[in-house]
Amino acid sequence: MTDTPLLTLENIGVRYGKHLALTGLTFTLRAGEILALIGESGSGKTTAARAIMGLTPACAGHIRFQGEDITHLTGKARRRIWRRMQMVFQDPSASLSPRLTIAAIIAEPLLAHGHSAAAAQTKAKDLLDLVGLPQPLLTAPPTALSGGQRQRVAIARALALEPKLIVADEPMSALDVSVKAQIANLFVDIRDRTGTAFLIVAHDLALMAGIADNAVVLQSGKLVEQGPMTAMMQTPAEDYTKMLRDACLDPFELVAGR
Amino acid sequence: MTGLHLKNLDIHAGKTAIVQDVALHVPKGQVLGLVGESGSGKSMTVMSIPHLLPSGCHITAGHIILDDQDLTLLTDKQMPPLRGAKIGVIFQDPFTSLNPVRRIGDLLAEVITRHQNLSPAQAKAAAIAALDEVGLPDAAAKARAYPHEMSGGQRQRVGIALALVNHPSLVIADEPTTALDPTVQVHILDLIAKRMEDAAAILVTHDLGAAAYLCTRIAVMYSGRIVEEAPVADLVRRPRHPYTAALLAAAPRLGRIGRPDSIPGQPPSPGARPQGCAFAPRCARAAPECTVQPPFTGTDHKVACHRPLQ
Repeated sequence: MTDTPLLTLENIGVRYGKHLALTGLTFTLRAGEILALIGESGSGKTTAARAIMGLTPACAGHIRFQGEDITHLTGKARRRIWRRMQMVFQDPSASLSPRLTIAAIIAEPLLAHGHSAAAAQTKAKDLLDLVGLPQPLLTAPPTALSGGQRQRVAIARALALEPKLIVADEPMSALDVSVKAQIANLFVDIRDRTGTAFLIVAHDLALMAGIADNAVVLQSGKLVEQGPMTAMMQTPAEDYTKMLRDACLDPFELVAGR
Repeated sequence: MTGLHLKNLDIHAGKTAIVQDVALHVPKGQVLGLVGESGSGKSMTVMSIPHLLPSGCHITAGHIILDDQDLTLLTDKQMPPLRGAKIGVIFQDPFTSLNPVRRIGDLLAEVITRHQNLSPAQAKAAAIAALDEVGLPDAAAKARAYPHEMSGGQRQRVGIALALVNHPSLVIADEPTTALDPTVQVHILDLIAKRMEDAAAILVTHDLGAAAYLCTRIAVMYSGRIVEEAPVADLVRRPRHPYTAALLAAAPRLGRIGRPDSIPGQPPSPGARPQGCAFAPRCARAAPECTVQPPFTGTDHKVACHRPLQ
């Protein structure tokens, strides 16, 4: 991890009609960092992720990516940014076309950005290895895959253009506990091997504690607390963060008194 | 013989065995946690009880006894009157099971009048009382609301009211908190515990933490079979099946800093299970004898493993 800011949010506000979904959000993400953006439903965490990706317009503040102000970029200029900044969604069955093979899904962004078909196929094979899927799945449709495998495909597709940052919106929420752990570990492995930074939107503090370097906690559209993940887990400064932490049902703690 | 007994239950989808040889007993007033991953057969097992298996899936062997009545002998016409009356089902996301164009109160009143002999005014009052009992503030106003006007947690409270309003003797909760914020999860589990009265209950979940919070005993399913069943504290502290131990290691922990342990690989598909123990290909303790199906043995703490942990 270097100290270069990769992404900076300065006083970002997002408005849905009269409702302020996000106000004054400021944080920095460095190259190669895994940052957890944590909060309950309605806290504004997904809105923040969408504002960074340019999918929801910010009504105030600035978003800088590799030094460039990308807050209001649209069209061609935004697509140029998307080469370096990709997104992974919560439900991989909704974000993968059921009519395409896995190979075609992973190759799609490469073809869209001018790679040859042969180069895209080779790259798709490498990416499948990187996300820990067996090669025979290349010819399968996403419907033949489990939820965890589909999320691996979505991550492979996001990695295809070798982005500097992947924004993942609740990427583990729809998965089984043991598969959550697999995908969480996959993010760390990919960061270690490729240097890709991750902004992971999550509601589960305990799960993120295992993998994130830093965390930003949101409540009702405002930043509540930010800092190193480990410190936040051990000694949360705010009651809200403590409540989120204590919501984790740890089976070992629960049977301690029995 | 009160409570629920599942006896050597088999469920097939066509020729493929989805659930094999499942035996469980849930006494009145107790909650059993049925824990397993997607595809393990846990939802199939419990949905076979009120005859809610998807089309093409059938019970092919065994018995389901609820308070001395064998439910497998009932025809599909005899079962519906029991649903919502003797058997209450709480689904994962009530938004998909609540009629979007019906007001919450009307929906509840309909469920009440179908099974209880009440006038429309009495049913309406009972519906409002039921909403109040599941902790919805201003229940009279909420009775006039539509499902989309409520948060996920509020909708699940309605789901619980619908399932429990006729005082069932069996409560089936199928991943009732999976779609909710962690902070809401505990409230919903508490509410189920408080409202289930002396029913026998099954909590289906992939979350050992949720099961440990609510349940008396936990049964762990893997690839269509129960591999371990024990009192909660015993199962968490001294898991005997390597799969249970691996699931526990993958669970999010309050005190742990560092990466969670994950189980490599994934479960076999029901049509392509290996010979013998289905977990053996992912198991560090696997040995040649694991190609033979291990018996499910023990008294209070049962396990199906040739080489169990001590």
